[in-house]
Amino acid sequence: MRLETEIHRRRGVTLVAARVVNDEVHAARVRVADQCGGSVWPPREDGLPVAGWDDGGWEGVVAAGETRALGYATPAEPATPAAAFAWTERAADAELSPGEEARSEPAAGEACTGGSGPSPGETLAQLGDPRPPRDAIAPPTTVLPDAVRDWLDRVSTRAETGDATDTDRERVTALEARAARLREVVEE
Amino acid sequence: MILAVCGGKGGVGKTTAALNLAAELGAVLVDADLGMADVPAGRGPDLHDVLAGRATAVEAVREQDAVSVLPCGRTLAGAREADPRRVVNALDAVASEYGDVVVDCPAGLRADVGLPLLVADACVLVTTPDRAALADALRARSLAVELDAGLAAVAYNCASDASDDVAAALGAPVVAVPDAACAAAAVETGRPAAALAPATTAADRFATLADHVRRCMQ
Repeated sequence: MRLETEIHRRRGVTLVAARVVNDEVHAARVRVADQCGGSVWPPREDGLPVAGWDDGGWEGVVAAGETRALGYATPAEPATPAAAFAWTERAADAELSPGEEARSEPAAGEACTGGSGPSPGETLAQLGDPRPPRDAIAPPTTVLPDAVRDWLDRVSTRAETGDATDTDRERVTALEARAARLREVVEE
Repeated sequence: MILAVCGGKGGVGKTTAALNLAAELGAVLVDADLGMADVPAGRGPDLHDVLAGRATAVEAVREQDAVSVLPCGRTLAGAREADPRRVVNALDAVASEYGDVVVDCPAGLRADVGLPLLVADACVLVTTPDRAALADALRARSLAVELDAGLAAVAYNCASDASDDVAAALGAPVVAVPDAACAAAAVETGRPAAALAPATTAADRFATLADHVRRCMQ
């Protein structure tokens, strides 16, 4: 098994291109894990991560002699290598990658509707995401106190350039929790 | 039981039919129109909060005299934060707590219609005699069939008589609902036609529609 990676860093985002080459005579199940240390932004279809991808990388089966091309983005600084095999094991020759399996396996945290119908995730993917696009939502600016707005703007700028810190993430989460609690109280 | 009220085209009277059916069936009305909610909402958590994980579905239900309602927020930001997939669990949770649920679906045939249909036991299609509305009702019917939500009945809105052609095309009993002022007033006030104008044809027809639904669920 061979894994080749290539990295491009653009506007605060690391783009990782990887090639998994199975030069063995048997199909192999592999896990390609990100080594850059940030969260993995997987390829998406209709807003949902493509099958096989999770927060840490990609898992799937590569047939004997097959070469699989993978690509993802991450806000973390590039590492060398950008990605590596977490493990590889021999797969049954008939075994398929998650993307090729009957796509009825409910993803983690998703409701199982029972019966043999499609999962909510599949229905969403097939019929299209009904949510309005992110760009359609203008963040409110006028009603916020100046200091709060300035701080949020700074966090927003850091997030856009990929320089958001752990402190930023913690503070935004704390702010959200506090605001949700406070909203209940002031609206009563 | 979870009943989805859908129709494809907008403005055909889905919300009116859903509100009146919920009243007849003693069900909780869930406004699942994530982008353009119609059912009056007061203060407190709504479906946007539920789908964003900020509230549970059961605590977002407003228990009211006429019809208990789980309203939906009206902001784009709220719609953006909502995970449409969570509507499946939310509807299940309300059904386990309250028994019957009527879902007012949005127009169109995207996932915000498909996901309620996926979890629904049956659906009621709403259409007007207008050609465009009928064409959209046929498409909505196909989606409901694909997602295993049996068609219980068709609410033939703004029509004085039921049409055999429509019943044959859609393959379900058709109940004509006259275009009565009380039907529109129902949504304005959040009170069903049966409460506002108990002796009218519209109120009577919604009762018939509810009978069809009950029969379908037996």
